Amino acid sequence: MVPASLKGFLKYSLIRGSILFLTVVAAIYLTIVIANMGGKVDEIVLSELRMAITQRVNMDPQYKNLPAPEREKLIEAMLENEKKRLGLDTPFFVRSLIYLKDAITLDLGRALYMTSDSGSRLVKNIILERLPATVLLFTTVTVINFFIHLFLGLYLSRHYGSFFDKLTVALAPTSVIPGWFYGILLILIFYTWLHVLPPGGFVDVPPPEEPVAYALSVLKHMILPMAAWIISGFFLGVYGNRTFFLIFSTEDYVEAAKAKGLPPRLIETRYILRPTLPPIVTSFALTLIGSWGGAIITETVFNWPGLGLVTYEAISRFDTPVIVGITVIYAYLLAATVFILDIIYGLLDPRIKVRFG
Amino acid sequence: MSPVLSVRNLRLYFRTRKGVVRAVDGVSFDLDKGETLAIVGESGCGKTSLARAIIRLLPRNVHTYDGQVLVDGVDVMKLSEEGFRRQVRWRKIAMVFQGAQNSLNPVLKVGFQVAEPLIIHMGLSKEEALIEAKRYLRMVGIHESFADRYPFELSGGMKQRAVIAMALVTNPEVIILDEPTSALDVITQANIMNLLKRIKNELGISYLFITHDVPLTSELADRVAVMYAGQIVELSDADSFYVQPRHPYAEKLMASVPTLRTEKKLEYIPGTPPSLINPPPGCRFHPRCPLAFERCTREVPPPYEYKPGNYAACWLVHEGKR
Amino acid sequence: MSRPSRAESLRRVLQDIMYYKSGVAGLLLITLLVALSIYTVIALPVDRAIYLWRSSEIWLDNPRTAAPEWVQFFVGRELPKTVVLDSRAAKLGVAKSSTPIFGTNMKKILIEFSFEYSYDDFPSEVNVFLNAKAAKQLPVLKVIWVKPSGDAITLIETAMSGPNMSLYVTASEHVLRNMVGYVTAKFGFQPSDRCTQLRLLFGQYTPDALRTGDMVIEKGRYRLIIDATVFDEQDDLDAKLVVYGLVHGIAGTDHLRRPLEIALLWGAPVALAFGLTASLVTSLVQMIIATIGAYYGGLLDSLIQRITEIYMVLPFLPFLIMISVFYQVNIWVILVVVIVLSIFGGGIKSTRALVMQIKEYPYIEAARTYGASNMRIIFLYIIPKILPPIVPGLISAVPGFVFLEAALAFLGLGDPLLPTWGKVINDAFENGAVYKGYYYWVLEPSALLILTGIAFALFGFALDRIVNPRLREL
Repeated sequence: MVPASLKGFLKYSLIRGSILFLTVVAAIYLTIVIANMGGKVDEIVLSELRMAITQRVNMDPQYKNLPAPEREKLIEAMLENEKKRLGLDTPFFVRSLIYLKDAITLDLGRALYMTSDSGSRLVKNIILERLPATVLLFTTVTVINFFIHLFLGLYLSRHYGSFFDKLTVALAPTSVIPGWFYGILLILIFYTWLHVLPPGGFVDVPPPEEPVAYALSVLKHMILPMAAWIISGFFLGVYGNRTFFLIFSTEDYVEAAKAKGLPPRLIETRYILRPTLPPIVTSFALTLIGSWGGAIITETVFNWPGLGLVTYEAISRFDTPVIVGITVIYAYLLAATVFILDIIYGLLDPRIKVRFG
Repeated sequence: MSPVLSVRNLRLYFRTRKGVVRAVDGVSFDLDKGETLAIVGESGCGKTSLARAIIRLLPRNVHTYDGQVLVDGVDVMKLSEEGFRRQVRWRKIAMVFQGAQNSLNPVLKVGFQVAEPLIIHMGLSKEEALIEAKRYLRMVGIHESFADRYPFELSGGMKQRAVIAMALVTNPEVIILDEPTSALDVITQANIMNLLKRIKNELGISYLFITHDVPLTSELADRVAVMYAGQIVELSDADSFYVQPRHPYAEKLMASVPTLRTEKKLEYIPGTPPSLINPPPGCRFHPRCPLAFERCTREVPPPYEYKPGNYAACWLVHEGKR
Repeated sequence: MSRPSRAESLRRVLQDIMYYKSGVAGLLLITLLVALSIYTVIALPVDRAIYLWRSSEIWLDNPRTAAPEWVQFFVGRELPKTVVLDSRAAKLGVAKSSTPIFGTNMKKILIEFSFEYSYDDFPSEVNVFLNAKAAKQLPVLKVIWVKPSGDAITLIETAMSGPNMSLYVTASEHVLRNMVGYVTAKFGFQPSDRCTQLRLLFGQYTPDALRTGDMVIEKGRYRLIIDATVFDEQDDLDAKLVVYGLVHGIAGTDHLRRPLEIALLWGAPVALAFGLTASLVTSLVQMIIATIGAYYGGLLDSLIQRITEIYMVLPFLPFLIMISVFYQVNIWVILVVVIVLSIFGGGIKSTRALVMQIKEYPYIEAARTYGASNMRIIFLYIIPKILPPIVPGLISAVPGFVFLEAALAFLGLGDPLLPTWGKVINDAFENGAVYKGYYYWVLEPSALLILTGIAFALFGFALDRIVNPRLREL
C-alpha cells in the first residue's frame, strides 16, 4: 500500500533538494561578487600591499643604498610575488568562478588578516570555532520560545476572553522591539544599576577551571541575552499561536469532531494540533533562521564570541574570504533548514505524497 | 410508544455586539421511532441553531440555553458536558453537517474517521472498528478501498456519503441532517436522497431533516415543521402539509414552490425576514402577513392543535377561520 | 439593496477603527510623532542641524555628559547648573576695571567674577577663557580664587601663551600644586591624594575632610579675581569664567557637550521617513511583483518564485553591513539598499496565494470576456482586492525598518552626518554610558524608539483585526 506514496515522497524530496541546491549556488555567487565589490576590494588590498611593501623596502637597511629606479623595480617584483601568492593576478571573473567552486565544496581557503583563537588562518577553523557559541545561544532561545508560545497559545485559546488573554492581546505590540534592544535595556538594569549580572562576554574572566563552575559561569552570561529574546518574542508569539489555534478550532471538522462525542483532549491533539503542525513548524524554522540572522547585533551588544561577532569583525577588516565563508555556511544552513521543512511538510500533509506519486 | 426525542421549550440566545439574538425561542416537538421530521424555513430562521442546540454544540457567546431535551425519556439537558458527550453524542444522536466538504479532517484517512466513534464510544480496537467502518462505507455506496484515502481524494458526493456512513456507524436513534445536499448537484442530490430513504427503510432510524428546500423534503418526511424567526409556526403531517398548510407563512412558502405538471402563478413573500434581536411584538409574521388583524399585533399565538398531532400557531386557526 | 457608497464604507471603516482603543492610541501617537517631525524640520532645518551637530566651539559653555535638569526631582538634591560669567557682558557679578600704571605705558586690569553657589553637589568642571588684545607683548596675570570661608588661593601666575588662552582649572597640575601648597601652609599637612582640584576649589576645608578626602560642598559666595598687567595702553584683556554644572537643559548633553535634544528631535523625522518609505515602497513593489507573477503564471511566475527563494537564503544583515562598510553611505543609500534587499521577500508568497485565488473568480473571467486588457484587470480588479490585507502588514513593518536603521547606527555604520537616535545610543555605549551610569543618554533615545515602534505596532495590529474577518470577533 505504501510504495506509491513513498515513491511520490522521494521524487518530491529530490526535486526540492535540487532546486534548493541551485538556489544556494546562486546566492553564494552573488555574495562573492558583492563581497569583492566586483573586484574593488582587490584594488584596496593591492594598494594596501603596495604601501606595506614600499614601507618595508624603504626601512630595510639592505636596500638603503639602492638608487630610486632600482628600488621601484624591487617593489614591483615583490608586489607581483604577493599578487601571485594571494591569487590576485588572474582577472576577477575567472577568480570568482574558482571561488564559487571552492565555496560550494566548503573549501573556504585562508583568511586575509584574521586568525582563529587557536592561531589557524583557515577560514573553516575560524568559523567552526565560533559557530558553537552562536548555536548554543540562539538555538536554545528559539527552542525555548517555541515551546512557551505553543503551550501558552494553546492554553489561551482554551481560555478565550480571560484576563491573561486580553493582557496578551494588549501587550502583543511590545514584540515589535527587537531582542537586541531589550538587551541594551536589560544591561542597564541588571549590570549598571543592580550589578548582579555581567554586561557581556562568554564566561567570567579569568574563567573557572572546574567544569561545573565553568558551565555555570557560561550560563550566567547567557541569562541576559536569552532573557532579551524571550521577552521580545513573548507576547506576539503567544498571541499569534493563540489566534492560530482559535481560528483552526472553528474549522468545521473540529465542530464535527465535537459532535461525534470525541473527548476534548483528543480533539485538541488530533483535530487542532495535527492539521496546524505544518504552519507551526514553518514559523519555527523561519524564526530559527531569523535568529541566526539577528545574531550579529545581539552578539555585538553582549560581546558574545559567536559567528555574528566574527561577521562584524570580518566586514570591518574587509577580510573577504571570511565574509564569503560565513555567508556560504549560512546559505547552506538556511537551505538545509528549508529542505528539512519541506520534508516535514511532505510527511505531514498527505496531499503532497499523493500528488507526486 | 414514547417518542425517541422530545424537545420542550428549547431556547438558545446569543450575545452579539448589536444585542441578544434569540435564535431558538421556545421550540417544542416530538420525534417518534423511525419517523422523519422535516424542519423547513428561510435562511436565518434558526434551523441550524436548533440542530446545534439539540446536540449541544454551543458557540462562545451563549446568553441563554434552557428547555428540555428528552432522549428516550431522559432529560439530557441536565447532564454534565462529559456525561452528555459519553452518553448522547453519536450514541443516541448523530449529525450530518451542512457542507460535508469540511466535516472531514484533511490529515486523517477517511476510513479511520468513520471508525473513530466506534473506537471511542464502543471501545472497539482499531482493526475491528475499521472492518465495521468498511461495512458502512459499502452500505452507503463507497468502495471499501476508499477507506485508505484522504478526504481530498473524494468527490463532493462521496464525501457526503462518507459523512453519512460516519453518522450511522454507532447505530444512533436519531440522525440530524442539516442541509445535507445543498452543496451538491441535482443528480448527486437525488442519489443521496435515495440512500437516505433506503437506510430509513432498512434500519428504522429517525431523521431530523433540516433544509430550506421544501420540495426536497417531500421524499422523506413523515411530518413537516415550519420555522419562522426562531419559533415553530406549523407542525403537520406530510400529507396535510403539502396539500393544505394552515399557517399563512407556510402557505406562502408552498405557493412559492414551482410544480412540475400544473400551471401555477408563483408567489413570493413581501418584506424581509425579521430581526432576531428585536422581533416584532405579537405574532412575528404579522408585518408580512396579508391576513393579519389586530390581535396578531398584540398577542403571541400559541400552537393550536387543529387536528390530532397537527399544530399551527396562528390566531386565525385558533378562531377557526382557517 | 444598493451597494454602500464610498462615504458610507469609509465611515464604517472609521467606526471599526474606533472600536479598537489600542489602535486609536497608536494612531494618536503616530500623529504626535508626525507633528513633532514637521515641527523639527521647520524649526531646525537639516543643514543647520548637521552644522550644529558637527561643531564643537558652539557648545563650549555646556557641561560634558550632563544629565537633564529634571533628574533633580528623582535624586532629591539640587544639582548644579552651569554658571557663565563674561567680562564683556555687563551683569551682576562681573566687575572689570582698568588702571594705568603711573610712569609707564602699562595698565593694570582687574577682572572680578563673583557668584552665589547654593547647590548640593560639586560642579563638573571649571574653565577660564582668556582673550587678550596686545600690540606687542602679551599680558601677564594672576588668577586668585576666593572661597566663602575667606580663603584666597592663587591658582596660577603666568604670562599668556597666546592671545587666546584657555585655563582648564580643574585639570591643571599647576593649579593643583598651588592649592595643595596653600592647604599645606595653612593646616600644616598635605591633603589626601583624593582631594582633586574640584574638591579643593569647592569643598569645605576641615582637617578631617582634607585628610580623608571626603569633602562636603561649601555653599556661599565665590569670587574669581584675575589680576593682569598689560604692556600697552591700547591693550585689553577679557575673560570668561564657566563653572560647569551637572545638569543641562531638557535632555542633557553628550560627551562632546552637545545638547541631546537636537539629536532627539531630529531622530523623529529621520526614523519616520526611513521607516515609512522603506515599508511603503517594499510593500507596493512586492505586491506588484506577486500579482504579475501569479496572474501571468508560467515561466515568469517560476522565475519570480526562484528569485524569492534565493532571497530567502541570502543573509540580509551581513549584506547590508557589507555594503555600508564598502561604500559611501548616507541615509538615502541605506534606504535604497534596504529596499532592494527586501523586495523579493516573504510577503510575496502570501500575496501570490491570494492572487491565485482571486484570479479564478467569475468576475475576472467576465472582465476578460468583454475584452479588458490584462493591465486593466490587474490594476482595476485584482489590486483593489488585495490592497486591504496588505495595509496592516505595511504599517506593522515600519518599526522593523526603524529599528534596522537604529541597529546600523548602533554598530557605527549608519549615516555619519545625521544625528539619529541609533547614533546617540552608539555614542553612549562607546563612551562608557553602561559602566559610568549615564542612564539618560541611553534611555532618552531608547524611549523614543520604543514609542515609535509601539505606536505603529498598535495601529497596525488594530488594522489587522479589522481587515482580517476571521480575527474580527477575536
